[in-house]
Amino acid sequence: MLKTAYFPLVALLMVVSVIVGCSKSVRYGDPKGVETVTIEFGSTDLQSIAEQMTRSILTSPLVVEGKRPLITVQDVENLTSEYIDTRGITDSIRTELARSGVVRFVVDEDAMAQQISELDRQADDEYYDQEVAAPKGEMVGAAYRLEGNIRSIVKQNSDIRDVYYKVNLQVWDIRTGILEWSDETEIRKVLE
Amino acid sequence: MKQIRWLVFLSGLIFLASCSFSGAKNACPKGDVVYLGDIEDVEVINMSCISKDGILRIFVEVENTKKSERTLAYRFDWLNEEGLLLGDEEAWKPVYFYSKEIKTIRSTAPNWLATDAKFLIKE
Repeated sequence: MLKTAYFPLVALLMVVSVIVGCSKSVRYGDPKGVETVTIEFGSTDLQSIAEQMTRSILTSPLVVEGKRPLITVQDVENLTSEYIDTRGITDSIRTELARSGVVRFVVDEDAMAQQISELDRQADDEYYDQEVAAPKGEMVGAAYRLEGNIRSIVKQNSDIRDVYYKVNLQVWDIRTGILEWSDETEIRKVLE
Repeated sequence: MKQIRWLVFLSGLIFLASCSFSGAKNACPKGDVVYLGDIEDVEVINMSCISKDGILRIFVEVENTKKSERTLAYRFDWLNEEGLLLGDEEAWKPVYFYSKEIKTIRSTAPNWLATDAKFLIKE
């Protein structure tokens, strides 16, 4: 008799613990931490590639103290079967190189329309003081072009999914067409 | 006999000269190692630095003393002459080890201001 009196209380406790156990909470994480939520291309891959490639460029003959060559960046071509925001890779590489202060970047193909639009806007003497407005015809062309691609090989069976990424970047001398620097990095991820 | 002594002396000189001009790796100025969290069965055996064209390069030999394979994560904190952190913290990078493997992790400073580095490793 006494035991049955506890039934509602036990049931209530069970329901509460299920609700508490199922509820999700939000927390802040480390943006630089190793991310392994899924096997797809993630933030850790992006950060590792950008860092490794940037550091490799820093040790290349391209970079000489005090010279600061002009580079234009082209998007990394995505040759994988998944969607990867490759602009994110080039942006990260450019940002890290710019932070290092060893190279300078000129307007790339994607930003050219905005650059021309701004020059056109400043050329309007109705609104802009022409003595200090940026004149047309003084943009400086890059000496080097950075380009690259990312490829992947995906293998899977009923138990394992294996993804291999290879990123290759190159820097070309625009005037001579000489390949001045090239490097590649690999990433293997396994989902078991 | 005299000639042999001279030969030994000269080869000794050549050996010393080659050591000093080969850009041999040196111990990093401070080269701190930080083991984060409850990390066990891993040992940093050696940490050496070399400065080439003014950019610091670092080599860290890490041993997985465990009998099984594992993935660890590492990063470097690059420090300037005053011992202050340069720029943002690096991203943690995963590194795979086979059982009992010794791996050399290499990295290059993000700019010319780095004079030392701290190596951080975690599970």
